[in-house]
Amino acid sequence: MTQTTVKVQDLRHTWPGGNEVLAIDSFALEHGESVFLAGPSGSGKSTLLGLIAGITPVQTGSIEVLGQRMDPARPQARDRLRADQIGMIFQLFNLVPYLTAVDNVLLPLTFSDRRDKAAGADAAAKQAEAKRLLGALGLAEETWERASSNLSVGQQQRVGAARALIGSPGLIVADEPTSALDDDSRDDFLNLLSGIARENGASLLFVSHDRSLATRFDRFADLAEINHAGEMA
Amino acid sequence: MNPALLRLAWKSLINRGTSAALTVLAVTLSVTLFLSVERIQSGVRTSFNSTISGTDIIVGARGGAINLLLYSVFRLGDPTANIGWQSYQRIAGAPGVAWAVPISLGDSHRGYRVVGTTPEYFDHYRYGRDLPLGFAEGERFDGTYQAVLGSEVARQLGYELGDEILLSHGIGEISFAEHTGHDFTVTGILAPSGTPVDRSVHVSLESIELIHVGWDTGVAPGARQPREDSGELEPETITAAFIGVQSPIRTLSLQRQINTFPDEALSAVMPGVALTQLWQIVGAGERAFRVISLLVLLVGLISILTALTSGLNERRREMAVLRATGAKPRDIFSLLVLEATSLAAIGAVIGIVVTQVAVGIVASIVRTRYGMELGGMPGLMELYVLLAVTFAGAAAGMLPAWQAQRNALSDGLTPKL
Repeated sequence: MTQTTVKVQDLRHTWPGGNEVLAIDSFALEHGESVFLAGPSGSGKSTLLGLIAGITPVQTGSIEVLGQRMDPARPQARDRLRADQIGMIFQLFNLVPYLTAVDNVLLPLTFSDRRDKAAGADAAAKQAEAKRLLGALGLAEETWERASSNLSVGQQQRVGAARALIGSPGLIVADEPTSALDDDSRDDFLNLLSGIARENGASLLFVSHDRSLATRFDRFADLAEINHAGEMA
Repeated sequence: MNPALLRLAWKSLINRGTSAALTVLAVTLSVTLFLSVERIQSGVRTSFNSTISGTDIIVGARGGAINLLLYSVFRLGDPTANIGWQSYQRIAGAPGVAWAVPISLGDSHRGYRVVGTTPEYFDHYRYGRDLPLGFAEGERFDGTYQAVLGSEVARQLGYELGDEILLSHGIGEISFAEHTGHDFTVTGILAPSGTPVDRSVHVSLESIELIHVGWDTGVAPGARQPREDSGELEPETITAAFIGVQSPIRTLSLQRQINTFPDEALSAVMPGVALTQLWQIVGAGERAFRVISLLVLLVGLISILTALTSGLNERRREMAVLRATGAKPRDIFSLLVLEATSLAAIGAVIGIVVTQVAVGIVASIVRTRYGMELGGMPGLMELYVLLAVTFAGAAAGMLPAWQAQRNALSDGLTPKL
């Protein structure tokens, strides 16, 4: 059975002060689908991602991730759902500075039993899986045990991607992950990310303002079109 | 709680090595200070309390009870005045007195005080739980120009039986007035007792009289020949006397009799009572010391709070990353509390070790100089300190932890930096 990975319905979100930032009637991400979501800064993009990740509680409407509701009344359940099913990549500063590349990749496993089991049977297997992902994302072996603060931005983004992918979460959320990269490494990074996400059967929600990247994804969506916030009723 | 968080906390601390090390150092120093003060205080108490037993009354010139106790028993400070030999003899012969031992102070040998006394001193002086003085070698003096050394004196100065020593006038470390021409022979060396006796040189009262012949003016008799007086070597005065009573119920009335002695102004003190008075005075100082060392301990703990709080802002991004990878707000809280607890526990453990090493280094010096035991292996007190500091560290960590948790909740995925 294929399941809808993300299902947003009748979502309204207002920040303190009364400005409505999100008004989305319906938005969905199907199983295994990769979607490019165009969203300039200030479009409510960060807010939407916070809601999907379960970090910000939903005010009105509903969000489901892999069939489970991001219940505003149950923050622990949201944290658990995020830990189990969502891998996130940010624009910058993806890593815990005092951990090595490999330890950063292994980090989600400490917060999710499901991903911990999925990544490997024992510590050695998990290490091997982390290294396999780092290798697959094109990180040279000598950087694996390096403290992440000693990695270049491009290397850090790859480590961040490997961390998002480990333990096969159902959803990868990438928030402008390529905007700090130059063109070559950006293409490289995108190919690897979407390739591994497809292999893992994970859905990919890729948010960027750079529409030239949109062709690489199954579907294009424009947050400005989906989001009716601020429009006259 | 997630055990992986402890690993995370440690890696975080190691990463902020300098700041963490300084914080640990602050805790270490404060724990060391606290433990050292406690060790010294209990060492002083134990050694003072076990210095004299079996003596019911100490008689000296009219003066404070504590002062009399200090110079007669602990060989600390100077006697205020002497008491007449006639008075002593009348007290010694008073009804109810079981025994009396006179002592005469005022001379020294290379910084160690000389005690002029009678051979009965070795019978009646008791310490700890009624332990008598034992001889390691030789025997008590039974005539003039013979000396019995305390164990430290013999050990430090390397004396053996039969060695000849000179006494000095006065009780300073360095004396300019030697009793030249009066060689004393070491006839006995006492076994260690952990009391000031270890640091005393014992000679007969008659010897004291002999070496002071001609010193009436307080200066050395120069070229004058010592008087070889075969006659009376009876002292005119002594410094103090230890007295034992036949029955404990006689003690108070005897004390009253001595305090109201008609011919001379005398003081009679009971050692236990004088010690209690001493502790009442010292107790205030002890409490002050304890308060100070507790405050220093508090400062050490506050340094944990400072270190963690000051790092919070630059760690907001790190917390957001942890949240994004699935950490619950409680995990963030636990992480910081674990960091604080680790800093406190490591500081406490190092502090205990440092104290132990320091005690090991100075113990022999303190034993030699002051006859005081600083205690051996760490005991219950160290365990309590370790637990208390660790828990206090955890408590101190809760404030920054709570702050970090709140930040993480309000920041979400995008910290406002």
